[in-house]
Amino acid sequence: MFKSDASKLWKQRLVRVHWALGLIVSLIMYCALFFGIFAIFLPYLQVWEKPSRHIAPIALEKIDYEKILSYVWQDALFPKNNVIVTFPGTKNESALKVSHRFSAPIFFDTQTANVIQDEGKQSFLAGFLNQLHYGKVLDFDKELFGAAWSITGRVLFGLASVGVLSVIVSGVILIVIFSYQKRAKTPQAFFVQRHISILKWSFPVVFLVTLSGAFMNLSLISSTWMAQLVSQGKESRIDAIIGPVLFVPEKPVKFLNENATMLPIATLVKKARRIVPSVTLHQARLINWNDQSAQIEFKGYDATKPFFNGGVFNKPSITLSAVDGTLLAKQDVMDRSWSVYLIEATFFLHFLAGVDLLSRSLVAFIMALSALAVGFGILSWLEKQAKKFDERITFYHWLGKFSLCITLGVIPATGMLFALQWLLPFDLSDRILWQKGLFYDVWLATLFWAFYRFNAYRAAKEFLLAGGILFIASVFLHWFKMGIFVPSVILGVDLALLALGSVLILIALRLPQDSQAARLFWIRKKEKR
Amino acid sequence: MNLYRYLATPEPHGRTIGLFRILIAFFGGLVLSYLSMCVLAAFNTPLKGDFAVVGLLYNTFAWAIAALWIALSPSKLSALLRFSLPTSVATAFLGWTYV
Repeated sequence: MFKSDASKLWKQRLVRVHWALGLIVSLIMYCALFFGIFAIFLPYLQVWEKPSRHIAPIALEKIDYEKILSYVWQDALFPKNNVIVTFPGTKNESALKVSHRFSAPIFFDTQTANVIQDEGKQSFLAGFLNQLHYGKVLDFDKELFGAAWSITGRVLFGLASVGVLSVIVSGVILIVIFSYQKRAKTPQAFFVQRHISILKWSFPVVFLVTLSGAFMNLSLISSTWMAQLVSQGKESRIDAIIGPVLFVPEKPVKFLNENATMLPIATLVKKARRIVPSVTLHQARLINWNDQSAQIEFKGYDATKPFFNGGVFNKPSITLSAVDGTLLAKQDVMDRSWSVYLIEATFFLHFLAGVDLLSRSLVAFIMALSALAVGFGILSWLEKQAKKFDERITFYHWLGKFSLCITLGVIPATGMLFALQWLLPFDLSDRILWQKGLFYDVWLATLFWAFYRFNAYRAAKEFLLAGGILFIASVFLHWFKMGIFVPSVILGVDLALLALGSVLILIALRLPQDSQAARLFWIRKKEKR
Repeated sequence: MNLYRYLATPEPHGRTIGLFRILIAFFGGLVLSYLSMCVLAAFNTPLKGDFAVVGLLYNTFAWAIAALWIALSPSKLSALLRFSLPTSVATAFLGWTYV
């Protein structure tokens, strides 16, 4: 008797924890998922958003590296040793980037090898969407206000991701120990069923992404104490302990102080490709350039070994002599310590560095489904609350209105962000501040609208419609300003945004108008059988 | 003795979690998971760096698990014990390596 009682209490608590914690973290989780989908396509958006990046793609061997480098060597302020050349195509960047640890990067047009006037922070659409994804919100300035908000937001998102991990574990246990009905008769049962049927399959992906997100937002911030505890008080930076494992130490190469002519970089690129054909080259580091001891170190991504490389920690590399092109050193994907693979595997689905469009779209699709499932989770709770009133009065709950604003109100706000990208002139001072400010204004306005409209179904339809129109408008504004840019991913982004806008409008037209129609809409197909 | 009886008696139902469990699960789970992950990397072996990576990478997951485990304990007393006993062991171990 006592035994079964304890087990009943345990199950009750498990259900309660899943519900309560799930509701608390669900809206933040939804935001992270929603903006995360845009962050998955960040490489494509950051090319689309900048007029200076509307450059046709080119093969790496055909770039005039010597002209580019002569510009860099003439720049008296740019450091000369360990210059890093990031090839076009890395994270889909269409320009060639020349950078150094201690200097601002210079961007070059790959077709003409001329310097590009970078828009810098005047154009920050993709970066802003990424910041919203990890909670760096309201950082309008570097002063106290902005700094305080961005730290608060990141810690809040970090705490929410730990909550999500708890919710995932409790959810998996719930699925294992309970059996759920296959046929839903009420909207609430329908929402629960969809919530389970989607997340049952997608939770491993969500888990890995959430875990790596929690690592970046919480573990790194709190690593000082761990560093001190595990090193018996000798170190206060965790880098001192994990750095040697995660990053390959760079040994300085001795100068010979004899001038030498360098092989053309295009030739070295060809050589490197012949030695490691499976590696996509991302960047080259120029060591002791124009000296007899000159070396070039290529780093890249090996697409045949996903989950083992691709993130920040494991990049296969190959070092050639820049004088005669002999192979000096080579680091394969599988040459590292086991913990590097553990962290790479955990981070792979989050960073997706070097991963092609198809895999990205697949991950984005899984994430979109999961966001929908989170929405169904919230809806099932609201339906449960609404049932208490049993159609006698219209259900009006602040959490319902707030959820409506967060989950659907974000769509017109984001659409506004995209439309403003091409509506605001690029030489407008504080351009990004206007763009961010209007984005938050629209989002806030949807909250007012959600409270104002008594009928939540109608408000939802209006949000989706407005969002769809704004996304489509952003594409036409882009075409009006830049013309149609045919042979590239830029047109692809246009078409994707057009498709997104059309789908949103279609959903807006299809969704039910009120709660009576909704009942039929959600479970009609089941009743017909 | 009264306090002991209050803590040791299981609640009549589990439909609410209660502030006591929430606080112990949230803060106790944090301390417990953080310290046990530090224990993992406190040994001075050649694998210290690797274990530090594991500790740093998984301490948030350990927090999630520990908080859930504490919140689901049968009584308030066992919630307190689930936090305090393993934490004491971890603290003692870390203190022993520290000196």
